[in-house]
Amino acid sequence: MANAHSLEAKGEMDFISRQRREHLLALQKGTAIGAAAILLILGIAYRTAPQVMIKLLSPLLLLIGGSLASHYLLRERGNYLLASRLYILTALVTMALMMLVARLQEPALRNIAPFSLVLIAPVTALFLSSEETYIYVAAGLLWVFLFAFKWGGNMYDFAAALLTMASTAVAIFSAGNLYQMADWAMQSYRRSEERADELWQSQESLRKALAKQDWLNEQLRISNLSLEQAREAAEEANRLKTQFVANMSHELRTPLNSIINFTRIVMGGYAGPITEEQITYLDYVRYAGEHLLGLINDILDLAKIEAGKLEVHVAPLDLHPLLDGVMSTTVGLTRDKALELRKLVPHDLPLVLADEKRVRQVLLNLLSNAAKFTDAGSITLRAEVDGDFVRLSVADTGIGIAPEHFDRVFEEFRQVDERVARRIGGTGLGMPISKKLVEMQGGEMWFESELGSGSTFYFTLPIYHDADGGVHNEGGITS
Amino acid sequence: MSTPIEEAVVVVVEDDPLNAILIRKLLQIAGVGQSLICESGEELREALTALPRVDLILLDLRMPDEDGYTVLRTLRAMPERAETKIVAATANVMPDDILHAEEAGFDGFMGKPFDFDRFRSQIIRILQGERVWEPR
Repeated sequence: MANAHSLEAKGEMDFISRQRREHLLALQKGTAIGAAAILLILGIAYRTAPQVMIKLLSPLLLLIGGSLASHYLLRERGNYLLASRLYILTALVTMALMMLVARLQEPALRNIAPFSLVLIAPVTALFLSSEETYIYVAAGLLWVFLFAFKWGGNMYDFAAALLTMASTAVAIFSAGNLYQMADWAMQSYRRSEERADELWQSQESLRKALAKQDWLNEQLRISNLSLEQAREAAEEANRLKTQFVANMSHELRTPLNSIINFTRIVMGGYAGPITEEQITYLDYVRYAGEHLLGLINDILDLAKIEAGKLEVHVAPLDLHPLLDGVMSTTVGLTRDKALELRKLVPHDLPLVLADEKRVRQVLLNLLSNAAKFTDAGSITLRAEVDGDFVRLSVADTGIGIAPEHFDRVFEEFRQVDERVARRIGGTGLGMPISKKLVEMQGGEMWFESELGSGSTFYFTLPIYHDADGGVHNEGGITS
Repeated sequence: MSTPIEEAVVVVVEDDPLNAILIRKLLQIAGVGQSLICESGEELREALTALPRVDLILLDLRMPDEDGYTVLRTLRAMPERAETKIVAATANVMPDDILHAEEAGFDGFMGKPFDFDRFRSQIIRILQGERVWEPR
């Protein structure tokens, strides 16, 4: 059984081999039992026919022994070929032996014996190949003929030979057909089994694919969820930041309202007489307060830009009074420095479409930066027409900007040189806000600079065209 | 129609004591005829019972008990105060605050810190019926 199991495990024992093996085992057992039964009957009938018992003892024992040996070979060793050959040979030798021992005293037995070939031939065809069957049957027939020549043959021998040949042909033919049919049936069965198996496998892989898809969908859902949570958290953080900036602005403006305006009240003499020196110092307090307010406004502007809420209100704007105003403020900023302030503005400057408050904010930012970073030389405010735009510029002869720092200029919170920044101050918000404000009014902002020689910042504002496409300036309409 | 600034009655609702003193002084410098400070909406409603005519109310938006919008609604519900100008005087100057104030129905918006040089003209313009929106 162990061998059969190992053969099955190897997958090499197909259906037909298994069938042959089962049949051979049954036949071997049946032969041994049958021979033993005959021996038993002969033993019982020993007194009436002792001769028969003596004559048949050796062939029957041989048959029992050969059958059991081949049965053992097949069952315990799994050697089908050897077992089947041994079994067939046992049958042939038994036949031969039976003819030999029966040749003199028992003519009936001797005459019947060759007919056992008729039985052996189909059995051989069942268990061995057709070539082997021919060999064994031929050997059996040869024996029958030799026997007939040596000890006198008779018509029975030839009848047995004829029958044997016919039986062999029929056996081989039918065994072949039988096995072909069985093989065909088996193959069909196997194919359908394979198909069922393939079907099951494809169903299984489909099921797995669906399960995997489910899993992926779940993962997608989870990551979407965490993305959504992260987005919500970011929005919440942004909302809190905006809220914080708004609160801070409110909390700083309330005391600044008192600081700036009480200072102005005292400076204005509304609280009694006041000396020139006191006015000077109070103006410093006012200036510091206004500066602080400017910082708060910058931070608020940045928060507005980030929240997408910064607004500009453009209207036709005459730049002349605006430029005069910012120049006089700059004079105050550079009071303590030996700086030449220049304003180069043509008289026929056209109106621009811009937000007055925001243009002032940008210009004051550029001019106060120029004043901060320039200790000697000049600051020049210039305006000129450039196509459909008025180009404004602020040029200084200050410390300038190194080329490697150019990209920092418009970055939020960034100051070009932190060491200079500590000395000069500022939040790093003025330039990015100014650039944004200019762009929101339809203009552009850029700069040129050389380290040690100074910087020039430019920005443009669109010229105002009325409904007829006319351009306005101080002198009236020019087309 | 409009009241000259010298005869105007202005009530200020302001919870910050320093700002209350400041606004009163600014109004005095501007030449406002009569001014009164209230610390809350509650106090304002009490004061109004004794004042038959109020030309202008400067209303702070952020106050502890009752915010400026609530006070505005109670004032707008008084038919006898239909002629009274109500202006938001506040340090809340974010775009949303300005928009909110406009939607709520304020007649003007003055951002803190006030502009000392423009304060008088702002008051006069408001009294003349101009909508003044100067968040600064």
